[in-house]
Amino acid sequence: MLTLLENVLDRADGTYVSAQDLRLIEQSLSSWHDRRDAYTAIQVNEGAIIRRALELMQDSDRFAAKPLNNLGVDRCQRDMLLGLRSCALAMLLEDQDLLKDRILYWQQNIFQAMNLNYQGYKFMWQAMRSVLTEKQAELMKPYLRTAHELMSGETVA
Amino acid sequence: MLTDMRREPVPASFFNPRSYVKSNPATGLLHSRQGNRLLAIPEILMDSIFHTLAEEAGEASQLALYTFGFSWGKSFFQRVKKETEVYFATPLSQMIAADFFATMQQAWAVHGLGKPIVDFSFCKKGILIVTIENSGISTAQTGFDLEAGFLGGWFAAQTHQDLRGCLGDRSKFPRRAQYLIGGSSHILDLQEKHLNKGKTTPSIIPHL
Repeated sequence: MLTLLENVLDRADGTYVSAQDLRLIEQSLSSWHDRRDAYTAIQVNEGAIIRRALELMQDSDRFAAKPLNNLGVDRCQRDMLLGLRSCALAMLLEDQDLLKDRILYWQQNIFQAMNLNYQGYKFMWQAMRSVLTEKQAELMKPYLRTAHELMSGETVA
Repeated sequence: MLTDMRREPVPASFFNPRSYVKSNPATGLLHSRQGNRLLAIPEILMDSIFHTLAEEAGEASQLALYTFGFSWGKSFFQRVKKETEVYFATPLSQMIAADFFATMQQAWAVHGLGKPIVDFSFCKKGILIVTIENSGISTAQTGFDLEAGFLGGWFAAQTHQDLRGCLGDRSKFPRRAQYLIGGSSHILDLQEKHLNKGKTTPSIIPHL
């Protein structure tokens, strides 16, 4: 919505918001309640989601072979927390561009510098599906998918 | 504990261009999100500086530009360091290198200075290779002394060592300028023996 409203502002400079732009804003507003409910559910269940995501990650092949030490787990927890909160906010505001500009490009730089194929968003998605309702998780899907694709370079179905 | 963590904000990308610059039309001020004053200058300022200095000072302009750049780079580092440390509530020395360099890239980006890429492959020989894409300081043909000084000053301030920068290579398409950063005498030596004779980075590497 933020990016949308900025663009609407640019297009309406010195004149009126077009009918098309008004429709876009209304479309975004129409799902506000669902998004807000999902956002609240995520906030309330943050601990459970992160715990589950970490479990899934540590159980996965890569980590079974080479487990993380405490510092690694702490770092991973922080990265996931940031990722979760950022994607949730992006979902609430229905704004993928904001997510990319404010968080994802920077995060991508870090993981590239560490030569890390970051899979955290995939585990967060799986965790969300087990903690949240299907409807709530579905709302988060596009944001987690974008995040995962940027970090890992893998396209997801 | 996760329940405590929930209330703690997790710091992220401080310099990201969508958050960093704030404007106050009533006072005519631009400032960073921490309140430090910013100025937006058009490209032509850099062009004017290079042109005027070359006209007024001829050969001496190279040294003047380097020195000016060094001083600028040093204070730029100090400003970035201060804002980063406040935001992350962590001394820079305790930041993970990958985090710091991602922060450095965004600090460059939000100031319109281009994209810095640091190559550590030769740090055991005491040399960093820093490539700037789309530089806001140098142009396609000039300003390399200024930028070399800027980078020298930045890294000297970061490491508290007597460092110097010099141009190693450049290209127009894509627009890139590549600098060698290292100990002052080492760099001066490389300049005298190789760079001033027209060699570029790839052929200097064996001599590092």
